[in-house]
Amino acid sequence: MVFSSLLFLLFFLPALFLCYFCIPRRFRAGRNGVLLAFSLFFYACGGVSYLPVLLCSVAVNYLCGLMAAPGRAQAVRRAGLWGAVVLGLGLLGWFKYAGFLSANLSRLGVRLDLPQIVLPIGISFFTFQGLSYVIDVYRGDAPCQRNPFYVALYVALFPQLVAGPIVRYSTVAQEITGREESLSQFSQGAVRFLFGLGKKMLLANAMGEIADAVFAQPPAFMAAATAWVGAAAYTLQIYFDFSAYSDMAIGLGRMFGFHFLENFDYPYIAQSVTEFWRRWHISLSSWFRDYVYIPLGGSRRSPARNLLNLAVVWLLTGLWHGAAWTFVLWGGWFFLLLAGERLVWGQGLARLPRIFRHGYVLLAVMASWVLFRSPDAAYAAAYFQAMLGLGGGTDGQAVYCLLQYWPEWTACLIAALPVKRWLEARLPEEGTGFAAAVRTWFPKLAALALLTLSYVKLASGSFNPFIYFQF
Amino acid sequence: MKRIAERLMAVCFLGFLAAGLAACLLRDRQDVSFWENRMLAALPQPGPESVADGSYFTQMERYLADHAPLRTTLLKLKTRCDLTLGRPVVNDVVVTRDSLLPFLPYGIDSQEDIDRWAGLMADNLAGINAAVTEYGGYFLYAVVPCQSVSRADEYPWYLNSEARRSQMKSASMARAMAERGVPFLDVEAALAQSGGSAQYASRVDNHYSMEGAFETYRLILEQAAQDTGLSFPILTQDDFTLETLPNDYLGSRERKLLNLERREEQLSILLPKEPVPFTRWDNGEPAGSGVYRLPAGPEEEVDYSLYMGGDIANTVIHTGREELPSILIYGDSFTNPVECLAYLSFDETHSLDLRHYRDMGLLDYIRQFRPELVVCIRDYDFMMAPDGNGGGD
Repeated sequence: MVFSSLLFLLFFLPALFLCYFCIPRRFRAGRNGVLLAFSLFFYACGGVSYLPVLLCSVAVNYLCGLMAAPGRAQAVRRAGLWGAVVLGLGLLGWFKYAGFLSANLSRLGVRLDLPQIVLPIGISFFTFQGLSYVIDVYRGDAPCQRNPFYVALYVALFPQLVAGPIVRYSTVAQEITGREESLSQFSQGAVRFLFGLGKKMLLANAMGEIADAVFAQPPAFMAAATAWVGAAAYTLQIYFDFSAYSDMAIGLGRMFGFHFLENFDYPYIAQSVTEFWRRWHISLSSWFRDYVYIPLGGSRRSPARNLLNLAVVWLLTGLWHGAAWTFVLWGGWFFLLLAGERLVWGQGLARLPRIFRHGYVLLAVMASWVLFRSPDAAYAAAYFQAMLGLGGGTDGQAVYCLLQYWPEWTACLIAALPVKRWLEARLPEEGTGFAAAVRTWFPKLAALALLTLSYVKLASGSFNPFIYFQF
Repeated sequence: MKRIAERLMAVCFLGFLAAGLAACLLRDRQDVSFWENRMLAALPQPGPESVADGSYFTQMERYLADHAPLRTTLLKLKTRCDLTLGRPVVNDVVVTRDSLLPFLPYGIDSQEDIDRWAGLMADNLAGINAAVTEYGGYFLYAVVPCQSVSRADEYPWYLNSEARRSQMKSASMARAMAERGVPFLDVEAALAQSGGSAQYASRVDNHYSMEGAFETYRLILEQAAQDTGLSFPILTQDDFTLETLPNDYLGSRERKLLNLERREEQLSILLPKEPVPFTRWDNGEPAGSGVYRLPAGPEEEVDYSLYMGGDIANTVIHTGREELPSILIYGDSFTNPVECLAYLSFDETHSLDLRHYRDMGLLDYIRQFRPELVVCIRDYDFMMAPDGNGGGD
């Protein structure tokens, strides 16, 4: 089940609101029970057969969390920590990487017979979330949760279960047992959710239609303009798709009294790739920073070791996104850019006019998305050639994509910029004047308009897949 | 003010969800979307496998989207918005100044692939030809232009009209049929010598007009007469009276873009000056003695089912003129207006729509009734498709 579906909007959500808010606030356990039951049902809608994997992950993290808690013998704590790492990553490795490993070994002549493995939805997200819990407990950064249902609720909480953001236990530990739902939070959450829904339905899906049509063609015969339009469309699709999901998750969390951290901060306005990664999928980059990069020594070791640490992090980041060489290359591309900015051209870049810095980031990121979207490295190479004008064919398709989707292109360009932040800075939050009224009413009216437009799109049964489910 | 806004927001959001849920549960179920000309998704039934792999809920989401409250109204609203925004393609329909044309996806035209498909289709047709010639009959495969072929010039330059692909398909098919010795008629090529097929193509529907059907009838019978030496009357336009119906024609291009586009077009019928009495059976049942399903009044909209009453699995028309040969016509709905004329030239006219006919296979039907002429009519889109009315038996 996806958030942008009638099943979710008209059945799941009303049923959950009814069951959840009918229970008085003082029965926190009851409300949490409802939330957990609905979260497990939400996950089961993607396939009941995957539910045991999620429950197994919860059980492992719960038990390992108990073992890793301060106060126990150091050996037990270490066993808890490493148990969670080995079992969690083992589960992820089996479901996500065994097929990839087998395919590569068979190319080397080593045959590894594996059964048909289907990737459970959201396994990368809930595995990392569970690991962060045990590691934080081991480090003493978060309290150990002795109630298994609350560990289950943390891992399986439906807003962020299948596509993030990766919520740290420390962020919500307090709120699991002691949150305060309110009308104000509900309203704010609804607005945020509807903005996410609108981004997904109106912008991401439209850009996805373009990207899918372009990337379905062999790049050997693709005109340069078409290749650029396809790359630009995918660049916008992946941002609006993923950030929309994060908006919806944050909004849904807020309705139930949870406060998840922001996951995106207008990444396409970054002026360096380093800055881009401070603004893009913040929960993932901070996860790798805190649980891989810093434990490896971070930037405090020798320059060579620092580079090695960076390479490890980006190899893992690439593989986290998918078990394919294109993702490894994607990670490698960002390693080169980040290492280059740190050691070679970073200072020079900072002295360039702003427009060149923006252009550099957009080109670098767009190239990375071509790698990310391509089915294999050969396709990506041919696509890059097409972008350089070495393909062929006519460019009618590019003109069609621009004319057909001109409202969406325009809206995407505006929505990718921090217009909202700019407006908020100029409109007073309190007061009785026109500006204050605009600030109070406009987001809500806009959210309701987006709900209506999204419903029109949903009812007219258009194109509606979520990209980040595959991770 | 902030508090009021928050309350109102929560009420509107929850009200929307509640109203949507109620409307979904109380709505009358429909099986068909008239405006989209398609079946709507059926309510999925849960099963152990579909629940285990999640496909049940995927189907349920499709079902709910298809049966969403106010769907038709919203579809019209979306279409109106898209037209107002000036999108060149709306609901997969290319909106030009004069016509509503099908949107054709971009792709690479591979001669190798086209030749392979043409070969496969020609092999299939050669099998039917062998079955017909075995008892002394004559088989003809006639390919007629659909709207995108006839009006290829009307596509904006940046959209794919498949003009090149159509030419490649036609040439490849002609070559493959000649190699196998199967009679083949390319109506588009024949009409190109007399002003082209655009004059016969609808502006709002995939099919040709009655006049286009008449030209197809004439070309088929002329080629059959020339190849076989059989004697049957081939009527000319002078033998008919052309009557244009005043009714608004609801073409199939997304039902003329959900009836929002006022591109008026009328359908015509050809009435023989010297009527031939006949009896008609549809699917084995007597079906009166008309070939046009005429509207009740001038206000009623008409569609392509005006001709022969639409796509019927099996129709047999007897004119009781035993000195004339019999004919079997099969194919998609392009056959319907041709059948309205063909019976005038034959004793028995059989028609099959293999998408609906289930009683026996095509070859069994041919062997049982042994019509002297067997004609398959398909349009350019489907000329190489062996399924459905391709007759892959």
